[in-house]
Amino acid sequence: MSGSSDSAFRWIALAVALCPATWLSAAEPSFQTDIRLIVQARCVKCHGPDEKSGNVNFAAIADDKVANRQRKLWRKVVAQLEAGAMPPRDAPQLTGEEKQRLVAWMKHAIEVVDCDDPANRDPGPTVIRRLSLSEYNRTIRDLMGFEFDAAATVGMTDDAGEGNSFGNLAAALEMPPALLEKYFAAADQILDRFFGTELSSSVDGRIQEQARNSREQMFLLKPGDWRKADYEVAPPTGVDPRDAARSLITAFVRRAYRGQAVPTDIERLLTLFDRATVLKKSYDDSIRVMLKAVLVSPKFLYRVEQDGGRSRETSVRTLTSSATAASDFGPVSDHELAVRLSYFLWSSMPDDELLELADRGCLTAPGPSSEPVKFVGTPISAPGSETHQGNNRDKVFDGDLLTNLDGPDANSHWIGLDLGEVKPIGRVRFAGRIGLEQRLVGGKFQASSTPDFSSDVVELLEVMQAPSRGWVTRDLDQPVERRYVRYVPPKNSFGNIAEIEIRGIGAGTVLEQQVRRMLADPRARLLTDNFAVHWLQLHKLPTARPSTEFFPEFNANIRQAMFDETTLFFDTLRREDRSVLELLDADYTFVNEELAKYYGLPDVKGKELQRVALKPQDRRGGLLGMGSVLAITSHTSRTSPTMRGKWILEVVFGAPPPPPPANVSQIKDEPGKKKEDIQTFREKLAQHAQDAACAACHRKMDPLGFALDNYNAVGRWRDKLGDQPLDVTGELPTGEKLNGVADLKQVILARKSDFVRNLTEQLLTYALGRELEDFDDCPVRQIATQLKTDDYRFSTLVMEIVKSYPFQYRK
Amino acid sequence: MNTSQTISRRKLLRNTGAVLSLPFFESLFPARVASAAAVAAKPPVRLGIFTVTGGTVLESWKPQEAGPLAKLPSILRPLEFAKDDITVISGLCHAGRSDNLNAHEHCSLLHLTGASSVKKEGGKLFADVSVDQAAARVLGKETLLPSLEIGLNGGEKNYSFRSRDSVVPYEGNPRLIFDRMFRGRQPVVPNWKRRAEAGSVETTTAPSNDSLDRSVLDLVLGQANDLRRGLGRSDQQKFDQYLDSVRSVEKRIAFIEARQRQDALDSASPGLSKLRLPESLPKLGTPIWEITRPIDQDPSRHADYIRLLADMQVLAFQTDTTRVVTVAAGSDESMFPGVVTVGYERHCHTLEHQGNASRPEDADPIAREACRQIHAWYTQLFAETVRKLREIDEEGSTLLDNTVLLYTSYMADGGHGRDDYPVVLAGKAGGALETGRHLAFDKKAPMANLYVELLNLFGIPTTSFGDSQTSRFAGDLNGRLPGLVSEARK
Repeated sequence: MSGSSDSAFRWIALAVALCPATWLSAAEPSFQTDIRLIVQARCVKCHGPDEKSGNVNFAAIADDKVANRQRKLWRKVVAQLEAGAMPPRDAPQLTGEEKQRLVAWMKHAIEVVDCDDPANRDPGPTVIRRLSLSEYNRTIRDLMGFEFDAAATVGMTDDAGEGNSFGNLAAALEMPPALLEKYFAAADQILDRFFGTELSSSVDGRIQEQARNSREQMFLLKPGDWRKADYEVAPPTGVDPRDAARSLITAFVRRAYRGQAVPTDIERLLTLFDRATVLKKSYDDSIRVMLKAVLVSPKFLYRVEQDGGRSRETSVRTLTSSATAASDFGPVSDHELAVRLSYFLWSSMPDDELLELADRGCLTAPGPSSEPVKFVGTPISAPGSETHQGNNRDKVFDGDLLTNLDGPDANSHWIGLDLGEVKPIGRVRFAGRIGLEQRLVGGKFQASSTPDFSSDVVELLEVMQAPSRGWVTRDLDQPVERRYVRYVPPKNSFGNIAEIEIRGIGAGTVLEQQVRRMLADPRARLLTDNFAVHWLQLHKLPTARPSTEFFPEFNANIRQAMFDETTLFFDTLRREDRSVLELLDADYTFVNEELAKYYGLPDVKGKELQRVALKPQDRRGGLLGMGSVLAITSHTSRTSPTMRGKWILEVVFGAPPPPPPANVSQIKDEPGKKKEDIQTFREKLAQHAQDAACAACHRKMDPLGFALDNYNAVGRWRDKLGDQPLDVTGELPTGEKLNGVADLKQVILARKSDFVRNLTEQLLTYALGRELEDFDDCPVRQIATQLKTDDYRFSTLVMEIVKSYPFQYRK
Repeated sequence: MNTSQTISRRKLLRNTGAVLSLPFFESLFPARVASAAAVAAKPPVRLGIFTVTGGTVLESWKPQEAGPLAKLPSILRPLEFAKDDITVISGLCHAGRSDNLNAHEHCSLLHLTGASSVKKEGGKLFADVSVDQAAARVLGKETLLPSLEIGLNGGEKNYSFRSRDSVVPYEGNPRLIFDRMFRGRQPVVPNWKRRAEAGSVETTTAPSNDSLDRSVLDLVLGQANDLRRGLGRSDQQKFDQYLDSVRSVEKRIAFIEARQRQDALDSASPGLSKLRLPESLPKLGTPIWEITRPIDQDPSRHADYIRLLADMQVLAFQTDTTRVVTVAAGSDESMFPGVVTVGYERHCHTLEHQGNASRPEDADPIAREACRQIHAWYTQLFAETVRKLREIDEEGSTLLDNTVLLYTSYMADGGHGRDDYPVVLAGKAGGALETGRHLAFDKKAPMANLYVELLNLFGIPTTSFGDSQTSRFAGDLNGRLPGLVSEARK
């Protein structure tokens, strides 16, 4: 692990910080002497060796050391005690003093982690894991080069659900027979699409074009060949079909199996090819049967981390921490790391660059990188062409070879990058428009120190002949130190360049560089789609309860705009590497004309979402001012302070209250009653919350939710409820008083370390694809601490997770 | 771009080939007749489950008196016409414990398993084998599909388990359900008389090996076995799922071949009853949310959807595609304008919480009435299925006579209750059930005992199932429900 001495230092610093000297003094209670007796008297009857109710057995906790490690258990117990749910009402109760002692000790045990304890150096179980539905779709897309929706085509169900909120928990990803059949069916349909044999009327033209392009690439066809041959593809002229099949399938399997391929895999696949040949199948049908076998292979459908990864022996990563890891833990191999990275950040397979680095064993190399890294910059173009070239400009930097610059007229405009600062440009990569590569001939790449290229211009290279299909890489003899780079199309050209990439030697290790590159890649949007949407529970928005019967303005357009607002906001944290605290409060958001009107924000036109600056009087900013969050936490016809409070506890702080006891009633609306009889909703809820079984949790949830009551059930601002004044005051169990959303934000920001720890836990859970255990507390604290020193920047959160022990190691 | 006027010969072949080919496979598989595909001499007995969400409203469901059925309570009233064909059972309860589950999951995992404990660990669910899967293990040997699990597999509907840790997904897209049953074959009604006369004349053809898909399966099996050797023990267990699934796909292929020849004989002289094929199925490639979202908002489309699922159940039984079908109907998240005519709340889950708790005296009477209306609506849809089964003649008996159709819910009431589940058995199970009665277990009995009885009805000797022997409701019933099965049949 790079920088491990550094992190070891941080660990020690952390441990010291968390272990104040007072705690080490003899007067402190210990489990053995103080807690055990109470537990034995009050809990062990049900939670002991005999009954193990709820799978809890306190009697198994033998000494203080073991007790101190049970942080997950103590968290559960504290929640139960504070909710007054345990002991059950019909069992002997704890005295107030006993309860206080238990809770105080347990809270302390939860807080204190001995990161030097070898038991806390555990990467957790490695589980063979099937690709989730989303990962499968994305992997097919990146492997085959076209979109495929397995859920719609063969009815695979989403893996996300109760208890597996991100849909990627390894243990929960099953492979029942019905699903395997679907993989077979999907393979057939994918190959129909690939070979262009599906009913084309039902397929989007763009997707057909993607498929044709990857067909041409895989079969090394010259553009246009497919038309003549009516889809018959043949081995390249003069090459033996079997040799052609071998090199085709070797290249395919390298990507499809993501570093899990062994030579026998190729031989096995070729026997299929041979059988097909014996059966007098055509060349492409013989290839097809091999591809099908790959697409249903366990090495494709599963991620396996197995012993014998090739770079494990050569790995020089060592632990310098005083705690030595048990011998059955080791660093993951280069390929395993590449796969972990790509599924974490992209929900998909590693791309060629990652695979190539892993092949060479470079991904885990310590020290400064000597690999030319992609420079991220801001697109620039000829003055005056920014607007009318519109979206085309971004298409040159979107990684998609099928989109390109298409200027408004011949001789139109150059296009380039502002690298942000002077960078040592050492490599230029580019791709022409597919099928029209000759249009680049005569085009030039230039670098300059000024954005208008008026001085200090260096010619980097000129395209002398039509480049080959796809990416072309050119290394410069000498690095050129400049800030601005551009491509100047040849005379009479419309541009027609599909992609430009500038590379050179950059700071950091290879791994750090790759994480930054991957985060900047459009594919990292999947962190929003697969992580944030489920973390924030936005997937509930399409079925949020408020109905148009009561809120006609809460229509499908508004729901969609609300969803887009929140997802774009989160994705902006990634793209602009902003502080994650902006989720709690921010002075900007994204709205379109309709949503701006709905929120009462001025001056926004059009259907596209735009960034708007927020002033305090706009009363928006951060998640709590977003319609999406406010609507998913409301009832059909009214707000639900309880649901909103619960959302805050659960989503923001990761401390959901336990579910209500069975058979509790809800608040009843009594529309038939005369006005003067109506208690306010607040009074009703207060009455309900007096019930001891309910009070403990409602006292925490309801004040948080009432502070948001200025937002109605569908997230619009209101100052009154009918003709009654709104009461948005409340008091938390801590004594903090709230009056409206501004106070609420202060209360939440005062607990930002709890929020940051929760976000870290959530994203680490997502990254590892497993539930966190007690021994994960150390990495979580380490990541959260680093995040704080780095101004809570999104990239730090991701980078520290990637560098963390459980991400880098396995059993 | 390819134009639609010029469809190549290859393409045409491929597309028509899809109609002829076997489910999910490109080419015909060799004849590999499974020995289990014996020919039934008379119509077999089928197990159907029709289970709804949200429990029931007991006072409007449970007949007041045990014994012969008088006028049915209001929720059951749509079944009045079939009173002589049904058995109402009351007093059945689940007692299984739960760990790390919410109340809905707790109920849903206990529902068909009667497990003594259920839990979630690492996001993975653990219960016990469910009654439908236990039945399918035996009954499924003789049909194309061992069982069919259909309905919206939303969030908490995890009812069916193949084993303690292996939950069975539900298929919600009617198009894919239909394809699963009939892709590569024509729906045909078996001629039970002909089959009985023909006896076991099925000839077995030696398996030939010239199929490429067969080779694909061999290849992945070989690869999987190699891979497995390098795995740790727990990973091996996890990975065995893959191997098992590949084998089950293999097995199915063998069945399909045998089945196609059987179908060919049947279609020469098909059974008497008329097939009613679904008229409108969603287009291929329709995403599931396009199907579910209108359902959640519009009860008439919701009803159409449940009808379509129930028709699939009838069709599966009538064509003997499978003998075990579970339909998971309804959704707690649905809105019920039009069905609910009282109050103004329309959201099912909210209504359940307000009105359907096990303590009627605490419930909001308006919400409770709304729940009653919703459950009467479910019963109406169930009754339509019963009627359809009764109208299908299987040479001297009706399909309903040869079926046990369990109508129930995964909760006893909308407050996540697990005491006194709503249970109706429709059908005579080939004559084994004395119908037209209310069988009341006033001192309560484990729901699992019903599953013991059902499995024994299907000729699967079972002495205990789930918590039938260990439940706190077990009493001295010894895992049975005395009085359910007519004495003559014991």
